[in-house]
Amino acid sequence: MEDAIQFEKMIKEFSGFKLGPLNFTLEPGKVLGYIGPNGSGKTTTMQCLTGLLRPESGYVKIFGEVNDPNETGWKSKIGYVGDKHVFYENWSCARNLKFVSQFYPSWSDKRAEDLIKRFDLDANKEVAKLSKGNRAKLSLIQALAHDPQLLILDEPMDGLDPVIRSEFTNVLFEVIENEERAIFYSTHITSEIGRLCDELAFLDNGSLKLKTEKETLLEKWRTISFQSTNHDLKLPGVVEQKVSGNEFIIKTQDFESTLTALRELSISDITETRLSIEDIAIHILKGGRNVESL
Amino acid sequence: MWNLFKAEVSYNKWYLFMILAMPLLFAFGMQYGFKLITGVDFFEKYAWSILVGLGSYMFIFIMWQMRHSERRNMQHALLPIPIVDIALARMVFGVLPFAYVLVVLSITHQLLGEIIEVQLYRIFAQLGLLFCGLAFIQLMMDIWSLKTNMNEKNWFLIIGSIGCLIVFISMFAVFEILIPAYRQLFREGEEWMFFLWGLILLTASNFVFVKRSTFLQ
Repeated sequence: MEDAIQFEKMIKEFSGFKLGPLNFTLEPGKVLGYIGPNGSGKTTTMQCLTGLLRPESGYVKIFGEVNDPNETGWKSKIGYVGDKHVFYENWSCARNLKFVSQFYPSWSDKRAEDLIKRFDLDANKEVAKLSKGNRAKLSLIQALAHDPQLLILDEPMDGLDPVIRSEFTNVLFEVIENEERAIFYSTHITSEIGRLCDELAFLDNGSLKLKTEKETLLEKWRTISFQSTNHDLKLPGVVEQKVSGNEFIIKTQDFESTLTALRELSISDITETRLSIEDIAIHILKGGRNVESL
Repeated sequence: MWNLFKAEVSYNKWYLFMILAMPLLFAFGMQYGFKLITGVDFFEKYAWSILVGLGSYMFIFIMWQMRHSERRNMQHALLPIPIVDIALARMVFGVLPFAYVLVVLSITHQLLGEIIEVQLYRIFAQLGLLFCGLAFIQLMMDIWSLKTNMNEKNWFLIIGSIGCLIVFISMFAVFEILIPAYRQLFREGEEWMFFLWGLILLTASNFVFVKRSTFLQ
């Protein structure tokens, strides 16, 4: 099966900013969390992916088709929730949905109605009078009602309350039940994607620092506590070290090799805990020492 | 393309209705000789067409501002339709109110005869000039859209586009020179030339739109 997304040497440049070259893929059935601080190039990546921006070089393929804005096949396969929600402002939500529905053969009014109920949205309300959160809801309904094969989400939970966030996450889990679909999820709030993502990609200042399986990342990155009288330890994979007396607390990006080294030094009473994705993201995006790159 | 166009017409129906109603209202007022102040004709022979024109442009301006502020191009570019269809829908929607005003003026002229003294026999020339104006605005907006996306390559694109505009304007100058010769051949037929040039420029603006490197506005 074709990759849901394929970035091939894609570069996008503005004055004073360069995104890429990006080279990575997203397989169907997977959820990729695209993590980076504000201004790192996440939204630009999304805009290149959806054809709103043309890259200077390289290309993006969606299910094997180059995302030429003049071609329609790939566009009907995607659902997009961007950082800006664009509608006919003086029309009601229902009228806006009706307008969009005519362009998608796979559009389901029943699914749209179901989502309106689940997200508790007043369909008869004029879009111009909607709150930021409700605009995001309408955008999500619009993106989901045609049952897209690829869902592209750029900070989709921005402005949503916790109840709707939870409902939205449930809907995404339903989307991914079908293994032919994929989700590309950009955010700077890592707590949003911990449960959902299979893979994580970290972007900083326009370049991709790391793309890996979430489980691999959580396996490799650990906090280790131990005691040692030797204060001059050289341990592999360590990205942060705190020493208080003989008590060491280290953070490692390569748990296995750090553990092996500690055992070789005959250090016992080792306790280890997993790091949160947020902690890992901070280390990777800060350009932490020895962080492996792609 | 027609779905986009229909949506735009439906969304702007009140503005379009006002543009539609104005010439008829004024023509009606003229027909029955309404007076604004005792002894002063409200609809002077030339003033009414100026009022209708200004009023129409005001509503057209509001519609275009709204289209721009609501990022209509971005909204449409995300739909599974070719960009060229968006360009065509934009063009037809832009042309429609202008064309309508002129057609209504023409009809009222026919109906009311000598009461309205407007040079309506040049309707195609006027339409052509309006098309040129619209194409120019569209081209400038397309060029301006590069601002969000600027690097050296785009600078060259901007310079190239401005160069093309200068060429177009120069061609108009040539055109003016050619008019006397054209008149000799076809008599009062230069309005067709303006009309043709309007269509050529609109086509050029559509081409630039399709080649845009950003659809964020």
